[in-house]
Amino acid sequence: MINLAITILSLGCLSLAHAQAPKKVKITIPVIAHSMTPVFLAQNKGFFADEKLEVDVTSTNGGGPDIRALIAGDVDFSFTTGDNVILAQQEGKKLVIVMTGLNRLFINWAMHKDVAKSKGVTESTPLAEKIKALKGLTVGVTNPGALTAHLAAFVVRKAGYNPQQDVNIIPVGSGPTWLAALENRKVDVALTAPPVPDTAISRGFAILLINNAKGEDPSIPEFLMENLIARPETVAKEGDTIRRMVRALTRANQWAGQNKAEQVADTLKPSMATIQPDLLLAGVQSVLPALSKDGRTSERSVQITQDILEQAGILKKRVAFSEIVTNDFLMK
Amino acid sequence: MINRTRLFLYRLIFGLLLLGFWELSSGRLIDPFWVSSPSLVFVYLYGVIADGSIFGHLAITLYETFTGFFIGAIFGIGVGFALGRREMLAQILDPYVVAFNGIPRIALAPLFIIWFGIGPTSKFILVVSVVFFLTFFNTYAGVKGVDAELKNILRIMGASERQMLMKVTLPSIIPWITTGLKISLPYAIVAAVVGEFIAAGKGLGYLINYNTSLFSTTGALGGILVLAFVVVVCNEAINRAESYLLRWRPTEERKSEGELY
Repeated sequence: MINLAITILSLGCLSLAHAQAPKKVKITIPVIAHSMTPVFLAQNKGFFADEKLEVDVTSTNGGGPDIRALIAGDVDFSFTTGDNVILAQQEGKKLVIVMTGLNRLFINWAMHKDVAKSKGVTESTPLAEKIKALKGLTVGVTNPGALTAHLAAFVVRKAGYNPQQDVNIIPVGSGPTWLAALENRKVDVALTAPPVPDTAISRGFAILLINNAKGEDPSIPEFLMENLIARPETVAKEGDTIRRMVRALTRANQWAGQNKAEQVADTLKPSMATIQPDLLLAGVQSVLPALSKDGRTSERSVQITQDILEQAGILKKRVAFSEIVTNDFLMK
Repeated sequence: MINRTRLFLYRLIFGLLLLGFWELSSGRLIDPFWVSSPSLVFVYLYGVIADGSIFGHLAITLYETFTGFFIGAIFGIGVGFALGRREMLAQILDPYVVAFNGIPRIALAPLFIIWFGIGPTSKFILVVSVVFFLTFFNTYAGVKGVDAELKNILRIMGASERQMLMKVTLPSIIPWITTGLKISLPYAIVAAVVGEFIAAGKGLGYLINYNTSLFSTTGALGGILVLAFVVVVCNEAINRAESYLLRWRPTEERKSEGELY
């Protein structure tokens, strides 16, 4: 009898300990940049820990491997651009967007100062004229097949030009190679996520051509910029974990919205130590308006993202919103 | 000894078995999203060959590869030959050569793009840096390994330096040089493709990267198969050049080498 009581007590203690142990979760991110603000804030402010989550964040140094690791089942989540979900679906791999972290296009265009001068373009020139000025220029994107490449093709077509005929679009890599290509006039214009264009501007060889982070292009009011993505099996079986992840990331975004940019920059510092303080702060100021307050993924953002992929000529068949998005795990 | 026709047949059967295994396992043992299938890859290749879109990419990669390969090989053979005959100079430069060779060139690729731009120059300089050391070390070892006894005999017979070079040194180092070239060619292609992966608007590396970004395993494997085919064709060309240059060797020896490689 005593033995039985001890056994029951032991099992009870074990299950209690198990319930209190943080759940280990693996997540991939494509880059260490401002667009990852929700993840870094949730980590550094302890929102993941509050949800009893021990989140192992891996940066894959570029988009692609992050989402492939998710498809392969190596990680539980990926926090990356939603166009990946649409393209994976096209190739027969279903993924689900369970939350939107950034709902605005966070990719800015920079133009070399000499080109801007010769084209008579300034930062205050109307958008339509800026886009028209692209004719005959070479535009640098990060990688073939990257979001920057699709966006460049979309904007060029919108201006009535033909990509690769009227406007040359070439991949120049990211970070240092992107900067070198623009500085050395291997490309006239280039686009990527802040703070890289801001670095080109602060070094004095470029002007900000299109500031999408501030919503300069009205044809892209919303976008699947950074989303929490999971496999359908995880959605079916790990609802509680998804809810906790979504809660932590949403709290991070809400905290950022309620605090000053300086405080947000200070909190991001441990995760973005290599970025100069002034660029870190400038990037935070750019990213704050793009953070989703409730994590909801809108039909409009899916539609606009698909418009861009379709214009770029890589989307053969549009995907229904309900096939790739669920808002069921959002905070009530 | 296997005759050429039989050898070709065995190779063909092996290749078909590999393709058959791939085709059968795709969708049954392995998810086709990851491995595609030979039939899909061949349909893709047929499409890009028929519309001609593959040739522009292939031409760029071949241009970068062979420009870099020839420059790297000429410098590698030249410097290897010179240092092989100048002991003092070789000893002075030894730590530098070892240090430079120890630098992983692939890690230098992004820097080359920054230094030499996003065009073909950065890619063929990357190729040069790979090919140089492989051909250099082989040529250097070849020169150092020339039979001293044979040289002494010729010297006793009154041969001039030029005659010794033409009759002993050069014929002795040709197998070393061709081995260096054979080893370096696939690496040259890899270097060009790696450069294209980082920043390029054309080339097979660009094509593979593009298809990978769009989750098209079929397109990526199609590009990889084209690369593999290029390597095989180039290797065969070097084998033939080697056979021609070593035609003075006894026939039996040449035949057995040909079968091994």
